Amino acid sequence: MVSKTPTLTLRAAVVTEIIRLREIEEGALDDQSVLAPARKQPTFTEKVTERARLLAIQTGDLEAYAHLIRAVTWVLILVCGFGILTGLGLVSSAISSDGAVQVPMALFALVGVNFIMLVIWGILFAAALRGDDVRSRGITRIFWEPLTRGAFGSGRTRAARAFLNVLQQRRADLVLFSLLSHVFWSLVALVGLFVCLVFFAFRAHGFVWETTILSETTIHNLIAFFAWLPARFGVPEPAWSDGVFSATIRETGYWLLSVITLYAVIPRLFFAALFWGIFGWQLRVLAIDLTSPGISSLRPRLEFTGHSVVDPAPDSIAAAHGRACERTFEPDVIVSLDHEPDLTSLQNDTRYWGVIDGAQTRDAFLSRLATGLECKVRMRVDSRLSPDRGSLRILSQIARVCLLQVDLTFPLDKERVSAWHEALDASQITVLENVDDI
Amino acid sequence: MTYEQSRTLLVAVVGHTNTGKTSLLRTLLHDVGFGQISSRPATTRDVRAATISSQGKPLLTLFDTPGLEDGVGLYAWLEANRTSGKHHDGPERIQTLLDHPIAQSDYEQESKVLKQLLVSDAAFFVIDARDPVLPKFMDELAILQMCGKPIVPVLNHTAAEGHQAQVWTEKLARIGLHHWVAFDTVSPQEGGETQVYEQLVAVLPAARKAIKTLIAERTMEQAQRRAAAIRWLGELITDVSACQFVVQHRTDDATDAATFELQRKVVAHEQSCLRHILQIYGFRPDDARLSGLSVTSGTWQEDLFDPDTLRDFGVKAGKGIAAGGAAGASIDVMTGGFSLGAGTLIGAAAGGIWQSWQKFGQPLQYKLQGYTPLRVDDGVIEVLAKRQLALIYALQRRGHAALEPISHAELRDHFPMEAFVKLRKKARQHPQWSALPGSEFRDSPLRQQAIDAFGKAVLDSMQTG
Repeated sequence: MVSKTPTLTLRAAVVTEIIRLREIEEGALDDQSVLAPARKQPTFTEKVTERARLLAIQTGDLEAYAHLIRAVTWVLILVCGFGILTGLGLVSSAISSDGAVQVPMALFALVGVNFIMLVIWGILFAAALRGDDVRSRGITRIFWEPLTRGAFGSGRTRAARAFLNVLQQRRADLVLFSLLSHVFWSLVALVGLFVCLVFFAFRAHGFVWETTILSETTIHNLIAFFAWLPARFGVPEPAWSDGVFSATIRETGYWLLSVITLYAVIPRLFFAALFWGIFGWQLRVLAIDLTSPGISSLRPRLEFTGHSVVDPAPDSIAAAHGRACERTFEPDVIVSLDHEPDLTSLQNDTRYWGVIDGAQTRDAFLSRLATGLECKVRMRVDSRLSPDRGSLRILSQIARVCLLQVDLTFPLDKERVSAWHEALDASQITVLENVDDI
Repeated sequence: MTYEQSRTLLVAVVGHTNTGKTSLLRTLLHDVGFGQISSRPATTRDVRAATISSQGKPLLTLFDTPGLEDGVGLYAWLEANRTSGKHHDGPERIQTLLDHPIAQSDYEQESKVLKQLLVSDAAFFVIDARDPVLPKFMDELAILQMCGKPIVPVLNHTAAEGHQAQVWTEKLARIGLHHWVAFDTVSPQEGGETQVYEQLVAVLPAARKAIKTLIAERTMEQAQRRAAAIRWLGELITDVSACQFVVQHRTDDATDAATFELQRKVVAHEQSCLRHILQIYGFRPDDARLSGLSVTSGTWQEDLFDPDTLRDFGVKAGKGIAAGGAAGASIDVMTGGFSLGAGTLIGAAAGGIWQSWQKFGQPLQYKLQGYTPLRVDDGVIEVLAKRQLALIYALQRRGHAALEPISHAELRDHFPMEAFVKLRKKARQHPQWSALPGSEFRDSPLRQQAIDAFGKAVLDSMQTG
């Protein structure tokens, strides 16, 4: 799952990937010094990229990225240079030293080869779109294999791998290599066209169609095939018989130039422009995969909310105090605090007073105690409830006017019982030793 | 103070002591480090704020408050100190209390809560649904309602046995609180967080926009966390399945030493995966709540290669390492290059030949040289995958309060066996796919595609489950 961030640049994406790969391979980097500025960024993606950028400065990966970009630039220059040389080579194969232009060879070298490569590209592109493993092979492998196998040192290798990983997002690598392919063949065709133009303009020449295995009908059909599109633009089909063009040299020259333009240059330029546009769009929608290993685990650290105390704790909290007494005595009266879950067992006990569950019952019970008739009280407290200051206050009030022992009923939760003991001890209230205590 | 969309929404988390207010905050903030949690009462004694932001803009500030402890006494005081003419003005009555010296002494903690609620837009009233509905709790609610703010009761511990949620909801309805939500911070239901926020919108419609943004963001984050954890699981399965150790001298001692070394690396890799998954879900490795999942100090308590561990998952695998397991072979189709020219095609062919050598030639070479490749047993990989997936399931539905392990039966129903076997087989064919230390790791789109396919199958099985 990727998250779209409009501000993400190729540089930010690659640097983030470099740091991700580094942390996966070598363990997490110490990022304490960069966490604060990273956390200030508005989105999680920006926090991640800012953290990576700052870490890359420390690790020298930013420099590795710069090296990588220089290397990629050189590769592009080499591809262009190779394209120009290829164009020159192909066009020279069609022009004899005596000035005769071998039309079938010119068509094959400048249009046919280009067309065949376009078809191969089309097939592989379609296969790659279907999800075949094409994009990890072929030319990508030739270009990236040395880079990704450590030929240029670990830092630069990692940068190359990161670059490739980023490109593989949304299949930008596929688009980039398609773009490279079309740029290369556009250059080949343009060089061919340019050389032919210059040659036709400034050198004495003639056009021949020499062949030993093609029949005359085949040649006519081929010429008719290549002449169809130029004819749509007003360039007539040149007449040909017995290996020689009977049309004027100028007409044949225009026709050949228009064939190269319409069948080789324009389609390739069209595709190059199309893939340039797609690649540009892909760079604009570049995103960080927030679920990828090494990125996903950053969220708790980078999304740290931060806490602030808006009303500090008091130095002490008012506590109620009762009066300790002997632990074992027979009570004159039994009473429950808050509620009594086991009422049936107490119903027949004449000493049972009822439940203190509010201010009214508390006051009523204290009034009864004030008569002085009873001075030994056993308070049943459900130990499953959490002790609280309110309960302790009531117990303390009672303990101050009579002998009170607290019977912690339902001692099922050891921690709760312990919390009650602690709270009652702090309030100096006696707890009945219960044989059922856990 | 009326809530306006232009400012941050302020919500106080209030309730009786020890009901799980801080746990609720930890879950809503996705921050295990927030506040202090203890089974003892009065753990939180201050008011603490934490803000949730979206795209850098603060959306919601939650306030953790001390527990209410003496609702009975405070309610009695408020009743005894009614001012004529202000009987029905709740906030005014609360202000009278706050202005009184008793707010600094006997009811200092309660006053903190009320002071905060007065300046908040709404409150979550956390209830321990295991407790019976007692008059003192109703007194607390009555006092809070005097602040004149919308209150959303949150029923905590509803997954506990014998909870009294039904009684609570009936009582709440009788005092006009209909928009309650059951949210167990120990074992929250799927989508529980969204329900909490939706109830907030129900009582505070003006906050709809902010809350909807928050819900959308949280839902996305949850999906990302799940996908990320599953991705780690896929990577782990791939690394361990692809991994191949070569024993150069075919003696028992050399094989035993290599077996031990491979086991050690696999265990270390599994622990690393475990730590990353815990990090994704915001758990510290030393979190005591993980003990229920057999995880202590960020490591599995039971050794992966321990026969008892394997038996627990119904696997018989001896040492868990198989000697001589040859890579499953598949014929690669040489697909050629990208039509840059004849050189490309030659390069592509060379690439294909290299791959074919890796698959056919290398095993043959090992055989001729007397080397023995060691691989991890299928059964062990299955156990490894199952217990990591069980962990993900448990983390997925947990709060930041506690964890409950997933049962073996539940795991069996949700384990995507077909996708797992497919990934394992595919990884077996590519030894270079293993990122285990010592392996010659090389990532590739095909490897990522295989992991993604597995991840998709796990997500599907989660959704259908």
